[in-house]
Amino acid sequence: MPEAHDPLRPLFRQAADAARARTVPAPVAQIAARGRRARRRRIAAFAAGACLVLLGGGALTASLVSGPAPVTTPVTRPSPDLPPSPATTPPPTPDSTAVGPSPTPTPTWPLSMGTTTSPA
Amino acid sequence: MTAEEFEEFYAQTVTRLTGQLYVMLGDLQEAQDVVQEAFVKAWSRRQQLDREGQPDAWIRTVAWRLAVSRWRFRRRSADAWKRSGAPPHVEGPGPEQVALVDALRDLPDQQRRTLTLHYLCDLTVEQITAETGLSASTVKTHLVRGRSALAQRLQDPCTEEAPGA
Repeated sequence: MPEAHDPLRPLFRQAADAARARTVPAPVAQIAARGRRARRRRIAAFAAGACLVLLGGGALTASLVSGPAPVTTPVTRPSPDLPPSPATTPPPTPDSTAVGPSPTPTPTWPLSMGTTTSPA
Repeated sequence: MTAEEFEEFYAQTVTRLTGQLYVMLGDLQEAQDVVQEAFVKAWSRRQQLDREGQPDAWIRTVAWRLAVSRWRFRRRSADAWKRSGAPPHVEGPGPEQVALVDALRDLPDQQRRTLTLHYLCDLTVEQITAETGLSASTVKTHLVRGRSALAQRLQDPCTEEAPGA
C-alpha cells in the first residue's frame, strides 16, 4: 500500500489546490432555488403518477364489478328445415284494412241484401 | 440538516469537492458543473444527507456518477455527430492543466477515482471500498497499477516504487 509520505500525495494536493483557486462557486441561493424547483417537479411527477394509478385502478375495478358480458351465440346460417320464423309484424288482416280506404270496393250490407235472391 | 446548515456545509465544502472532482475528471468546468448538480440534488435530501453521516462523500459519489453518465451521453452524441458528418469538438489545452492531471487522464476511470480518493481525500482501502462499491482487492490493484502507471508517465524516479510496497 502507498505510504503516507508518498511523493504522489503532494502532487495530487497541488493539482486540487490549483483547481480550488480557480473555482468560482455558484451562490447558495441559486443552488437552493434549483433544489426547490427540482423538488416541485418531483412532487408534480409523483402526483401525476398517483393520479394515473388511481384512474387505472378505478377503471379496472369498474370493469370487474360490472360482471361478465352476456354470452352471445355465434351467428349460424339459417337452416332450411326450420319453419320460417314468425314475422315480428303480423300480416295484414281484413280488419286492418278498415282503417283506411280500400283500393278495391267491397260489397256493403244494404247492397248485398238488395241484390241477393232467396233460393226458396 | 436545516437550510442554514446546508448553506454552511455548501460554503465549507464546495471548493474542496470541486478540486477533488477536478483531479478525478481532468476538467475544471465539468467538475464545477457536476458538483453544483450534486448539491442541487442534495438540497432536497437534506435530512437523509444528515442521517447518513458523510454528506461530502455523498456529494462526491453523486458528482462522480453524474460525470460518468455525462461521458456516456457524450459518447452517444459523438457517435451521432460522426454519423451526421459534423466535425467533432476538440478542446484545446487549458491553463488549469498540470502534469499530474494530464497523466491521470490516460488512466482508466476507476483507477483515477481510486487514486484520487486515496491520495487526495485520504481515504483508507476500507473507506474507498465503502464509497465505490469495489472490493478491497480491486481497490488495492487499482492503487498499485495506477501508481506505477503514474510513475512511468511522470518520469519521476521518486515515485517509482515496488508494486507490493
